[in-house]
Amino acid sequence: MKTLREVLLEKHQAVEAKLDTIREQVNAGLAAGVTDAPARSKQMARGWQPDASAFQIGWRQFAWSLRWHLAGLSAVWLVVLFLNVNRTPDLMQGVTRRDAPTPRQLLAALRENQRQLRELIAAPASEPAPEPPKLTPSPRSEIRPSSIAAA
Amino acid sequence: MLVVAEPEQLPVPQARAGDPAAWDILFRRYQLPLYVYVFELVHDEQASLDIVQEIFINATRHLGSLREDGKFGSWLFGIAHQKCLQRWRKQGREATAMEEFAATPVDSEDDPAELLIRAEQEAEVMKLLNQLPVAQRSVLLLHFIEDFPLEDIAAVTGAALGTVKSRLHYAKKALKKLIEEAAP
Repeated sequence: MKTLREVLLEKHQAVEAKLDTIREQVNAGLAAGVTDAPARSKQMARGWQPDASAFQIGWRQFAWSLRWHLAGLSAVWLVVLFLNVNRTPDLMQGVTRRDAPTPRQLLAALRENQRQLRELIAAPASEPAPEPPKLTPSPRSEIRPSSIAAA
Repeated sequence: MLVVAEPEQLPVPQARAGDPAAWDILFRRYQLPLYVYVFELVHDEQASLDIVQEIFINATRHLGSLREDGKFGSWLFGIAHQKCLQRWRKQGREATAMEEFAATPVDSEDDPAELLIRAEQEAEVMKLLNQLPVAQRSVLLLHFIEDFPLEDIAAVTGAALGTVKSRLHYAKKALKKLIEEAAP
């Protein structure tokens, strides 16, 4: 007689070898990670150091050779920026000044409008419309008694 | 020969300190029970081996999250349970498994006594075990493989204590019935 535990574990006993392999792999990784971690990080730092310094030196040399160009460009941009900042309000004011009509112009325009309106309103009153022609009733027939008599 | 150690004898503090030898002892102790638990839930040898490997790696990375050293075993099985759920999720089986987990009725009867299985009944018992709903199977396996207390099983499976009790009861009752029927 066996317990269910015994039955279950015995049923899967054959896979123990594979489980041992997995355990050993994980342990190997763990051991390597624990023992070699500081050494590996130092090695990585050492490995990167020459590359990093060479890159830095190259970059510095390149930037140094372009120092006057960069300084000139920076100065130009500063001047442009300065002028732009200073002139922008003047320009805006100029625009508003140019576009906005003076009070005199406004008054003149208003008077002109009023005059035109008055002309338009007053025009029918001053010139009476021509009378329509009077309609004279014409005889129903062109044959008149006199013409008959003449005939 | 199966290696079984009491939880207090396990070198969990040493493992916390990063001692590979301590990890080796812990893995050796739990590798087969974990495999059995995972295999009986997923029924795929290669997938089960992969999951066991993932459990080991996760355990080494996240041991800091374990509060009590004495709960190392149930903590490890908790990882295993989550890995199984992840696998079901990938296969789109999560909904089915969760329904099975939720559908277990609640019963307050006492659990039947320890089951003893005759050699000729083993195949039948394993067959029945696989026929049980996943939730009952999971609880039954945790109970029989590691003899975890109900509270630990509840923690591993994420179920309420009452639910775990009823699941275990139904699973054991079903197994006992089969064993009795098969008895000469």
